[in-house]
Amino acid sequence: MTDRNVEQALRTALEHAAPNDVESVLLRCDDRKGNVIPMTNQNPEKKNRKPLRLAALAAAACLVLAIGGGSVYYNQSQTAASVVSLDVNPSIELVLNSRERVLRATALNEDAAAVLDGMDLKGSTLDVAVNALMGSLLKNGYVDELANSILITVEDDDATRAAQLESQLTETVNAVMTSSSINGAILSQVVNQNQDLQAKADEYGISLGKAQLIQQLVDQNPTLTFESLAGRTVNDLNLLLSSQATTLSTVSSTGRASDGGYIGTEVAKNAALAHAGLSADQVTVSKVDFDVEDGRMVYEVEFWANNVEYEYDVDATTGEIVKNHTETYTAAAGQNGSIDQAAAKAAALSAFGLSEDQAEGIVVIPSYDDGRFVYKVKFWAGSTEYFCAVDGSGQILKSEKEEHASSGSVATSGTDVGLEAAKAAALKHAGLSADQVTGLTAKLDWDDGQRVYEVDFWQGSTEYEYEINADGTVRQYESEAHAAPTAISAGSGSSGSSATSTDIGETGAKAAALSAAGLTEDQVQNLFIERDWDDGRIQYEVKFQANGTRYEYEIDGSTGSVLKGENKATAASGSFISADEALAKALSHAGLDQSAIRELEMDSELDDDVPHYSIDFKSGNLEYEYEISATDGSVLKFEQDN
Amino acid sequence: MILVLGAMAQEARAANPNGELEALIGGIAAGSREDLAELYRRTRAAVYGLALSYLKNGAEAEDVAQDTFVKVWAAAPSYRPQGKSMAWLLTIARNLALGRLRSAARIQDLSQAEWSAFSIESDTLTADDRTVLGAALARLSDEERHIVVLHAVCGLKHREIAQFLDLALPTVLSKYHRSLKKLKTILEGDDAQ
Repeated sequence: MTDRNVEQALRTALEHAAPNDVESVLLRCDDRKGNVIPMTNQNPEKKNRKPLRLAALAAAACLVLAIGGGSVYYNQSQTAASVVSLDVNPSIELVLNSRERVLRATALNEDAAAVLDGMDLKGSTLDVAVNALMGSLLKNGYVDELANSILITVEDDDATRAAQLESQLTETVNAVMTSSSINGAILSQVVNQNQDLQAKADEYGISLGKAQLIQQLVDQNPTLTFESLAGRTVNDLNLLLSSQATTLSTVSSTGRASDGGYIGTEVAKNAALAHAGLSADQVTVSKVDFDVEDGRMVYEVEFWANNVEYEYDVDATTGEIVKNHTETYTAAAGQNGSIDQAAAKAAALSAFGLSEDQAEGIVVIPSYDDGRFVYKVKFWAGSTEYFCAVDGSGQILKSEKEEHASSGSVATSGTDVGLEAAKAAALKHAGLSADQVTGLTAKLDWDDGQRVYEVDFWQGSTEYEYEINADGTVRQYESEAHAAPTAISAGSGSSGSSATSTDIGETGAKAAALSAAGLTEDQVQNLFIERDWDDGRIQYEVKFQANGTRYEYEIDGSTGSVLKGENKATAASGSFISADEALAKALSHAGLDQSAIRELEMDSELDDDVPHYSIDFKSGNLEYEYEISATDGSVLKFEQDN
Repeated sequence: MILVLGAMAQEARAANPNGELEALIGGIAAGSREDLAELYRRTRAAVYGLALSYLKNGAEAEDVAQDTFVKVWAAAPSYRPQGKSMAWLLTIARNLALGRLRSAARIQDLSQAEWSAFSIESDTLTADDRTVLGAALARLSDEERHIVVLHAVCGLKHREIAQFLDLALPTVLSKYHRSLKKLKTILEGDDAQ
């Protein structure tokens, strides 16, 4: 057999296999001027494909086996065409061939179906298709002065062609907007195929491009969720992007998203001030930003007055106060005193002028904050959540209050099962008893306008997190199996045992830390132990104070060996200046009035070797960074940047 | 048998001269349905063969072949004669095939049976035909199959194939010879049975 014979055999086979039905082709060709050839023997039906016969399939299977079983799979990576999508709220996808002709236009959501209605874009050039789509978006009111953003996404294996398409599309879209006297805001990006993201995009009826944009926003700002953003328009997403000064490296942005559809930052700020009973000249506004809260667009307004930081969420459409939160900073003073938990609870309640029977879900957690021992006290009254940090001497270091807008009917206390029942409900659901688990904690929280209990516990190396509704039903749960502990090095006597882990317990950890410090339990104060899981092993964090020194240990939960130890003299026991005083020092150094600054950020680092406050703010186009000594208010560090 | 094959080879070669195809496309541009019918008669095996080589599915390839000629009718007025009429025609076919691959992949995972070489339906297809097509579809890589079809059936020169597939000429030559060798082994094995 020669090469010629092989070529010939292939040609013959294809001659036989190829369709021979020119009439059906001619029927689909519209007449062009003149030269009409009358057709005889017309068959208006496109050649019907017969259903696949079983016999042929069976024969096929045999033949494939006989040939050598090489399975025939379609290899996607060899396709060279590109996919372009336009997202406003309607999401439209165009599949293009390599000559930029439209092969298919798909409406990815209902709005898009209205935009595409009656349009046949198949076969048209990209330019023509995009002009037609933009025309329809404008005509249907999806793009206007109030919502002027559009997202362009190109998906193409050929990076050069993708970049070229991206800029070409941006130009076309911009030109259409300009000719309609709209100052457009265009976001554009090149994406790669991503199956996980594609699945999410399909689930929410959006393009892969919009999914990618949302994912990036969520990655950069963990307070946002994919779910809450999927239904937002591209204009909303663009507003979030620009207002949070988030820059996404892969997204190019031109123009400014219009906020004309919302109440505006001034109105939002005034609504928050009115609620706080303060006037503009009494406060320093640090932030007015767009955010998404409970699925609606809100302005997040933050300001500062008299040692109190206020945070408000104002509905961007109605001006309604969705949420407010205040945080009070008090001058830190006392040290080393050691009141008990009951005294800490009483101090916290009295700070808010509440009695114990007015509060519910009271939790007192001993912990360390800014290097000092504090009791963190949390409780609720109605739909308001309170938080207090009380130091060992009973002084309030910090107090916070957060009012939650309740949605619909708030569970009355009659239907509220309480903390203990919530714990029991979670354990029952997990099929465990209280003595089988460790680290069982429960606290009252507020989610979507509903009271919920968060219950956490461990069973062996598995961590459980439950959310229990006020009526005792399980709202959601999660369990995470942590990696089994790595092999325990020999040395301790437990060799040969097949047990995967031993746990020395809190008592063992405490003993190990005390012995490392050379102290006995009655010599130390404010002992704090926390169980943790790190790198597949149980670990205890043990902290305590003695004689003006603070000790911190990390103890291996299996062997009791000290992984890390640290001791530090506690800060001078003299009182610190307040945060407000520190701010005043910084402002006077900068020669600025409170009203002249924005984006104020303060942090207290009172456990530092040199206890201080970090204060950052902007004024005009200058950025200021201060470190103010917490002991004497002197300026430790000062930087001014453009 | 050999005589019949010879006649077919003649027909295939007659389709090659780009000059004749160019004239037909000119006629189509002017609205001649007769010229479109003639172009169809001369090139249907080439267009279908290339589509099949991409799609590996008889029914899909058949649709793409028919769509290609409808597209030629619409696009002929914008064709500029450059002596590359066959490559132009094949480019249309390839783009339609790639578009179909892409949308098929996005809509669903087609079962293996649907992709099978043997979804080809034709009353004139012989057992020998099935053997050679099966071998080309199952035993050659996608690229090898494109090269063989473009040369043996579409009549493109190796240099033109290199350009069409964006490959180096030596690559096309070596792949072509390797592919023919593979097919020959299978077909001779078949004969021996």
